[in-house]
Amino acid sequence: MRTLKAVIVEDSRLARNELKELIKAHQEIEIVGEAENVDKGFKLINEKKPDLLFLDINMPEKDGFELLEMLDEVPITIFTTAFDEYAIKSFEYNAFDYLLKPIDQKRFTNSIKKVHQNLNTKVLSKSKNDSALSLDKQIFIKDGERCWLVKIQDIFMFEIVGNYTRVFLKNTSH
Amino acid sequence: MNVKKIVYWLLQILIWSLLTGTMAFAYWVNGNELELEYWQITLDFFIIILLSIFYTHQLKRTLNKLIQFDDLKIMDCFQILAFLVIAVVLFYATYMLYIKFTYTLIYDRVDVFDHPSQSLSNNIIFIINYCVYFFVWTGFYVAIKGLVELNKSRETRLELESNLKESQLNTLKGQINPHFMFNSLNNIRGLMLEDVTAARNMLTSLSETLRYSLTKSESNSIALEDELDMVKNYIELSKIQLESRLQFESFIDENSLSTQIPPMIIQMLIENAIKHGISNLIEGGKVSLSTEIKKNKLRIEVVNTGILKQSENSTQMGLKNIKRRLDLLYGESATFSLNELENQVVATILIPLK
Repeated sequence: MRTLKAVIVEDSRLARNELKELIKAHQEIEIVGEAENVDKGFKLINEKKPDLLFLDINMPEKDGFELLEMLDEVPITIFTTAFDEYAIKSFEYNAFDYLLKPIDQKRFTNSIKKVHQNLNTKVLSKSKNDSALSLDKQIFIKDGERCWLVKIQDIFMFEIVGNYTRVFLKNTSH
Repeated sequence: MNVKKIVYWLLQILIWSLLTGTMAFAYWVNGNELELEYWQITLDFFIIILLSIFYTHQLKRTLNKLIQFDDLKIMDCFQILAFLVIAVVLFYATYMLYIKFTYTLIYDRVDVFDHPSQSLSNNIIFIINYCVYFFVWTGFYVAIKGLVELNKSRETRLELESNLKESQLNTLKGQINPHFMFNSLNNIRGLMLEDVTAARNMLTSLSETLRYSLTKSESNSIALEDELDMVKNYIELSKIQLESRLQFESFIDENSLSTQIPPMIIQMLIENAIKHGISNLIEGGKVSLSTEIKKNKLRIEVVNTGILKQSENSTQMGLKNIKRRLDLLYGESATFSLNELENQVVATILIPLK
């Protein structure tokens, strides 16, 4: 497993300690810095370029979303918050995951596992000459209420019909 | 003018015109014994209509000021009767002044005063008649007014009940807001890593806070002392979240401790001060609470570092809730204000002592 550089941005010291305790179970994660507000967090992230960001939403003066807006390069972001009123908004900000405090260790481990998977596929696709979609990749197609996972190599052709795209597969069409 | 007022004035004009018109008609049918001019009769009766409306209206205004219509006592009835008699006497006096003036000085008809129809006994009958008219009028007025007031006070009570239910819900949904609860739990988890005794104390504080908001908010009033315990716990819990960013001080008037106040009202002020004041400041700030009894009123003041943000909906909601509850419980005798003063936000509640 590759090492992950992580930054914590969270205003409560005890909550940071609590998070660090959870991270202890994952030795591959190295905490390269922590900040108690958005401005300090912004400096820290630009300086350390972490892979992973644990971000609280409610903080003094600026909130977690504002930090993401300020950043040019956004690390993989896991939101940590006490209540789920921001869950939907956080996914608009491309949150990788959304953890509710107090955080369950199992739930935390799952989230970190997903981070590794995500990074591995990125590495994999990079090694394959950065091609966006290769023949053996699958794409997700929604047809009314039904959903399909389709392999690229099975697609015969695309046809644009008004606002829709018709996908012809080797044996049938959607 | 609202519909009620229009109906009132229309009825006034209608009732007194009909009554006086009947009297005028009777006088005319009886053969105009005083041999008055047609316009003189009309004018006299018109003046009677105006005076009747004027004095019953004054009577109504006096009663409105003095009588609690939804809670009529026997003493009130005597009071009403007394005012009624005064109104009739004044009415009679004004009318007589008008008659003496016009018939002596303008019409030059002093002879009408010697006519048998203007005898003392007839005048007394006139007064008694008007006492009866005014009595019936007042009876109707008091009955209608009483019904309306009774309905109104029932509505207020219902609203108060539903508002209370709402705020009970809010204790879990909004007042002890979930953010606060889960942050506290998470902080306690963190605190266990460094100071188990402190963490245990915080768990007790959190339990007390929850218990208070679950049970005490059912009642309409609570001793200020109990509310202060709740505030103390809330501050303790906020301090593990904000640590050195939160300073708290309180100046409590010993005499105010047993005063009854609506539950959660100081708590909500403190919560607002922390949530919208201190926790938004990187350097933090100070919250100070003071209570004072002065001029038969309890004054509660919460001051926090920071500025007023008008745009924030959540503040407005919480504050509206406080205002609404005070309105329902105390009417206009309790006030709530929120002001900004030299980088400080000052929330003040004035509650009358019962």
